[in-house]
This record gives sequence, C-alpha cells and structure tokens, in this order.
Amino acid sequence: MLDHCAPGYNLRETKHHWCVTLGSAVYPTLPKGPHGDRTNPSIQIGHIKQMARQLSILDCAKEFLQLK
Amino acid sequence: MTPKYPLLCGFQEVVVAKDFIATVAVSGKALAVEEPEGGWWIYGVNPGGISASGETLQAAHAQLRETFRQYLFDVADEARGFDAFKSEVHRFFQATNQPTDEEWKEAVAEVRRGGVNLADVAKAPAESPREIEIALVAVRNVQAPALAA
Repeated sequence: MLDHCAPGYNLRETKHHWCVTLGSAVYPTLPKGPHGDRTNPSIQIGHIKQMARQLSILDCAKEFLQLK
Repeated sequence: MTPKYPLLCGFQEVVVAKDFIATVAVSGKALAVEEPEGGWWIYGVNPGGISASGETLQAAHAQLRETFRQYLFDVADEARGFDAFKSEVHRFFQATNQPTDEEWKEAVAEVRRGGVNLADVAKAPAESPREIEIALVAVRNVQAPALAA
C-alpha cells in the first residue's frame, strides 16, 4: 500500500514500532511484528487508517485496501 | 452510524534515557470510536501519529498510553541528549491529524446536541488548552566500569 500510495516514503525500525515518514509527515507508532492478532485483522486496520490520515494518503489507501 | 466520542486525554510519564531523566506531561485530544462489530479504537488528534484499540474504552485508553510511553522511549533511545529528545517529542505532539480533528469537532458538536454521551466519563470544555510539558529532571553520567589500579 505504501509503495502504491506513498512513493518516496521512508520506513525505519525503532525498538517498539515502525516509523513511517512521507515528506514532512511522520507516523512513528506503527506496530511491529505480527501486527496484532491476525485472526482478527479488521480490528487492526485502525492503525493503517490513522497512518494514512496522518500521511495524507487516505483516499488512495481506502481504494487500494478497499476500506470503508 | 458508528458512535464517536471526543476525548481530552492527559498522561504523565518519566523517561529514563542513557544520559538524562525527563518528565513528559501531555494534555492531548483523541477520538474514540465504538466499532459496530465490537471493540474500541482511539485515534490521536494531538498527537496525531498514534492510535490504539481494545475490547473496552478503558482498555483502548490503556493501550494508547502504553503506545505513547513506548514512543517516548523509542525517541529517548535514539536522541542525542535532552534537547534533541524534547524537540522531537514536541514535533510529534504538534503534528495534528487533520482528518481526525475534523471528526473530533463534529463529535464535540454531537455531544453538545445531546446525541452521544459517555456515562462514566467526566465532561470538560472542548476548548481546554492542549499542551505538552517536557522537563529535564537530571543529567545522567553513567560511565562504563573502570578497573581500579
């Protein structure tokens, strides 16, 4: 999704999170690892929505991920 | 329609880094959403780069605080000194999530119309100042052990 909607983004690993940067916008708290409970992915999509809002790529992310 | 609740959130944390100890007190804004399929999400407005979920509002709030605490330690781990830490955390707090802020304002209007309420949560003026205070408590001078000779 980031490759498609946020060309030029930077992904950096910190101790607890992924830090995603796009231009001057930063989302430093994307969860690492299994990204929560993959048996219930719908409850984890909130992280992606909030990141997309913060990076101003929400419309593209919604279309790409077919979010409501 | 999914119920949305405008929150005013306050956290205070002590951060112990390699070379300093600091306190961080934040009065932020966040939007709580009760999902139709169950569970809660809290989305940050200030700071905007954060979100958390839980089975209950209280659980989501606890997770939000934990995520914020982890963020502070991530920054402290990488910062070159207190000033760099303070600058980065300030920048994080000031980065408003604009779309969530718009929803937050709509949710405030809905609370004022009496459309939504949280029975066990106190009310406070939406215009209450949102701010962050970062204070240096001590400079640490932790040195590697030396062999006395």
